[in-house]
Amino acid sequence: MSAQSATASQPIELLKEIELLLRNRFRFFAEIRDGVGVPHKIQAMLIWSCLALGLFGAIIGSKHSLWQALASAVKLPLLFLITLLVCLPALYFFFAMFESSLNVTQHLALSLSAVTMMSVVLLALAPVMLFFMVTTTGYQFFKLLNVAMFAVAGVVGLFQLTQGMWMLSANDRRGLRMRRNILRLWVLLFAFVGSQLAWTLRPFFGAPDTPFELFRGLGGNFYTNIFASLGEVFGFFIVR
Amino acid sequence: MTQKPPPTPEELILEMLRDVLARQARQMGLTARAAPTEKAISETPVAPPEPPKSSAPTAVPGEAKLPPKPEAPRPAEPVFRSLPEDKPKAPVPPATRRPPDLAPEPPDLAYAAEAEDRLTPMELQSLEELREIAARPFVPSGLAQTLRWMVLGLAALIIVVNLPLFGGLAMVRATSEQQPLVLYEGLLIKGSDAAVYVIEQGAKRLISSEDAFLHRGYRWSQIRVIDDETLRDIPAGPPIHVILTCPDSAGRYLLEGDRKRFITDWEAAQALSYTEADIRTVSCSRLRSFLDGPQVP
Repeated sequence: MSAQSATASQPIELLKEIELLLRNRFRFFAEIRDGVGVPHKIQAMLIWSCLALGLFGAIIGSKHSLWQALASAVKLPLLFLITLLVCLPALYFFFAMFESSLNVTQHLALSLSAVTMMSVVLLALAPVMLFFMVTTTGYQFFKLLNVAMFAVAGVVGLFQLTQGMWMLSANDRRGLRMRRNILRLWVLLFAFVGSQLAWTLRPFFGAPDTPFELFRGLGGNFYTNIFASLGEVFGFFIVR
Repeated sequence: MTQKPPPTPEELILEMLRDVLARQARQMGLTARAAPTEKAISETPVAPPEPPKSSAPTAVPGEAKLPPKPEAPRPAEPVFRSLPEDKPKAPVPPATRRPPDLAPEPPDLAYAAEAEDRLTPMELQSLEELREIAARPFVPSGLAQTLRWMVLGLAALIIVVNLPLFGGLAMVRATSEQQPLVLYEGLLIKGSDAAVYVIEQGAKRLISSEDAFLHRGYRWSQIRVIDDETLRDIPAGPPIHVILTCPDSAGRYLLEGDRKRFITDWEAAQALSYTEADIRTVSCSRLRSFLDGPQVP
């Protein structure tokens, strides 16, 4: 009986970590700094991020087809987690070089908290996305709306990361300024790796009137595609 | 009391140079050596140079020599030596001044503090506030439950909008007529008027009647509405007609819009690429409802 109730309450226990992150992120960071339940926090953030990003992916893929919805539900969490794994070593080793006392688990927890915050923002915006999907048309508009939402989520998440990093490493005064600059560069790196990986893993929305495809061939890049979409939305030309 | 005259440009430059040299000296590890001010230089008596000792290096002129100390490992030097710009450094008594390559001394606490990046008062205050917030007791307020319900609700919504409830189309895909135009074989398009076209071999072919449309097995939901300008840009091909007949009549009629044209010679019609597959059987009353047009020779 007790094992059963423990299993039933486990999701809530994990969600309580997310609640702590949302309601008092500074306490959450302080606990990471002090090494309080860091593996549990990482587990909670991983599960939550996969769930929330998977749901958002399913929503944006639904516009095309059911298969696209399922594919996007898997690809969107992968996009964030792979980006994090690619960029995390750079953050950790550069910080270690500049006298940060945090270990790699704490770095992982901190950067994962940024991804978690992004996923929370996206989940909060998911009903808005769903509303526009059902009530409006226009593939390019839809695509740009998504880019805007991801941008908002990214800004919130990375702001969270810089705040957390500041709080965690403020005790290690030596090299503090340098680490701040490194973090700024790392944020740019994260954005570039993320956008390029998103382009590699596309489609997430699926172009209308085209059959479902899990991955599209390489070619072009994220930025030219967004400019083309802006061009069509503002009436400069039509994307065919 | 005489007023001190303002410094000349030469004096100012000299002052700046001294300042820079002092900073560089500190940066190179000469932290215990205070940058002598102009006054200190002028007041410091110039000591006669002493003969060098056998093992100890020569002391810098103008500085007091340190007594010899036992060899000991040098303390680890910090990686960074950032120097605050505007922090006045406390002058070190001449007795403690030493050249950098003498025997090691205990870690210089003043130097160690200087190597740290200093926080501005605002940053310190902000950090203190963050610590204060972090120290507040955390009482769960049911947000975890809300998150759980939100996830469950969204999952349910995703399922609902993907159910094919609208004529075989899911709700979320039922409004897709404004999607980007990809011209493919068999695409049905229309502009702002009622005329419907089908794309065949890169050209738009007018479907001249509803019977022709239905005879080909098309569905109205397949039609994509596009803007008239784009429609005009697509090259036109020959129109698509249907041939009507009714069970009580052996006559065959070519339907063009709302007019039926009697086909006098089926072989001649076949020469115009019409086949048996183009014949659609309708009720005779419906056939009679169409206006008569000129016969097809």
